[in-house]
Amino acid sequence: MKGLIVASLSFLFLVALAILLLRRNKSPNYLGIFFRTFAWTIPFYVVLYRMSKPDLGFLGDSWVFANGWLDFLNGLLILVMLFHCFVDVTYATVITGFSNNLILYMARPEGISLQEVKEIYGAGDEGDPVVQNRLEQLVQRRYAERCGEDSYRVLPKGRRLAWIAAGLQRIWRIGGAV
Amino acid sequence: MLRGVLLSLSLTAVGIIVQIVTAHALRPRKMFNHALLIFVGSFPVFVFLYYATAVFWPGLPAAEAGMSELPGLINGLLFHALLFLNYVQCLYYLTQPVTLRVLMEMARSGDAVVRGRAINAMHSFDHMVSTRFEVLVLHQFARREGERYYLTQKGERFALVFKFLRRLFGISYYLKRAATAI
Repeated sequence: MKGLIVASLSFLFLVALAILLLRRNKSPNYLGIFFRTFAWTIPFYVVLYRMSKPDLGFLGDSWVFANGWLDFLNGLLILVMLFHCFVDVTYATVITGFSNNLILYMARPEGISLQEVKEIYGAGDEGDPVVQNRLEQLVQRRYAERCGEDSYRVLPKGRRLAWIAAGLQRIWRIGGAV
Repeated sequence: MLRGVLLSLSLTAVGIIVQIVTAHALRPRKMFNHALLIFVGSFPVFVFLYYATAVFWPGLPAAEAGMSELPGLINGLLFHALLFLNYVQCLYYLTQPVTLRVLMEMARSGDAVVRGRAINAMHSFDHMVSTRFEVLVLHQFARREGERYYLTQKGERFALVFKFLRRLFGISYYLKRAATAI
């Protein structure tokens, strides 16, 4: 049980550290902060686990796992899963979640319209910055190539990734490939 | 402890197979609700199997000697819940990223050249925003009056939570960024 308790304490440390660093942060690279926080939490967990007694000073004998290594790995795995959930909720939903941003805009007494959202995000009537930016990323990472003005062709690397994603979507029956 | 973890891994594997099979047979409309139903059903099964199969796991009794059943059960249940949440998040990574959707759209055309304008038509900013507005109205988080959208009471409660969390993290209410960063 020690692994689980130490992992929970380490997770609290992670959350507190993430809040502290996010509040001090001036750059838009929020995701980097989360990974840095996690990188500091791992040694925190290891040291705390190594330095504490097997019964943590309060656990009964029947609550102490016999195999210390398994207990350590169990705690570490739980910590990794907690971190993944935390990042997904905090970064992908609270901080950068597009729908949640819309909700916050709508919370204003005057509400919001599609045109105002476009103005806020700098999406004019010419072209589309959301897709354009992604097409450029795909070209940069060699998933696709540009063939002249506004024309693209998928490269073998991109085709493989698309094939895998489509296959998985069909297996689970989710997404656009179904 | 190990018994609970192994049981969770086994049940999750079985749950995934059940989800895939029933998804093809029943064609549920909402993937998350479908997965959640299977997961919730796996909790009583977990508790039952935890006690019922205590003597069947080879090699484990020696490793867990002297332990009461309860700590292993608590650890196992927590592990099982976290495993499910992580699994569902991975499913979202497979369907949500716009970049992946754009790539899949391009790959459908084989070796043919794809016009950026054609992809824009399918994944445009207008489309992204409009669909989200529709979903928010459908789930009664928002209401539409003419061209404008306002929050309902349900939406306002939701917004309060997000405002609090954003204050806690020191992030401004209205994240001003270019559409390219979405």
